[in-house]
Amino acid sequence: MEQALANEQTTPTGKALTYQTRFGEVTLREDRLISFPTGILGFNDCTVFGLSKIPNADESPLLLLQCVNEPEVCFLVADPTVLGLDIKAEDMDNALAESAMDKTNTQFLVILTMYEQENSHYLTANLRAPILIDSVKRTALQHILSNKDYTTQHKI
Amino acid sequence: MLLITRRAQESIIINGCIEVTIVEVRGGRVKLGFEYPENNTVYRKELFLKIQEENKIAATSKGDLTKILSSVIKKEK
Repeated sequence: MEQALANEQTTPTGKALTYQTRFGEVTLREDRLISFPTGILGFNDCTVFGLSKIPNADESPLLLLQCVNEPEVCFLVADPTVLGLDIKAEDMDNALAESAMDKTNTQFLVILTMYEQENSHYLTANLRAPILIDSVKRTALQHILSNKDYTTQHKI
Repeated sequence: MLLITRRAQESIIINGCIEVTIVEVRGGRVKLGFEYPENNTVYRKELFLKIQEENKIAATSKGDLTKILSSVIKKEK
């Protein structure tokens, strides 16, 4: 694997880690990283991530999930509710129970895929396999919902 | 690949903590029962591969983010 971190700087709040991604330059705070012990499906080695706003798009609700230990891996993600997408409470509860995550502190995010078709650009959200992040413990995983009604490519 | 032949009602133990039981064998289909500690997952392979593939596409997906972001803002409103 070629280029690792673009650079590291020490700031009063903690070390800043910078990455050059296909979305622009992303900066993460070393003290705000998230551990994915089992990685993400297909990316088992990606065990440390950070969340960041999109460079030059502060007002956008979309976020970037940037991998720290495999820096070329970067996902576009979002809280499904900000996109008007719904994961039913019952399905969220089942997901929390099946993955042994804490109900109060766990946030659900969905991975987004960008598609370009001639002149149309659109996003799809993977509702079937959301990312669950415990914001207190700073641990996370990807969980496949048992409810087949959710699709991996929900067009937004 | 480890091959083990079982009859209905017989079981297999993986890592000393995951139990797979052959519940029923009927019409070319096998019903399997799983008991396992909660930090483990069991998925049909095709579903697992489907999610894996979608993740891989998402990880490399590119697009005109400016256009996409403006269409997302429209959706929120």
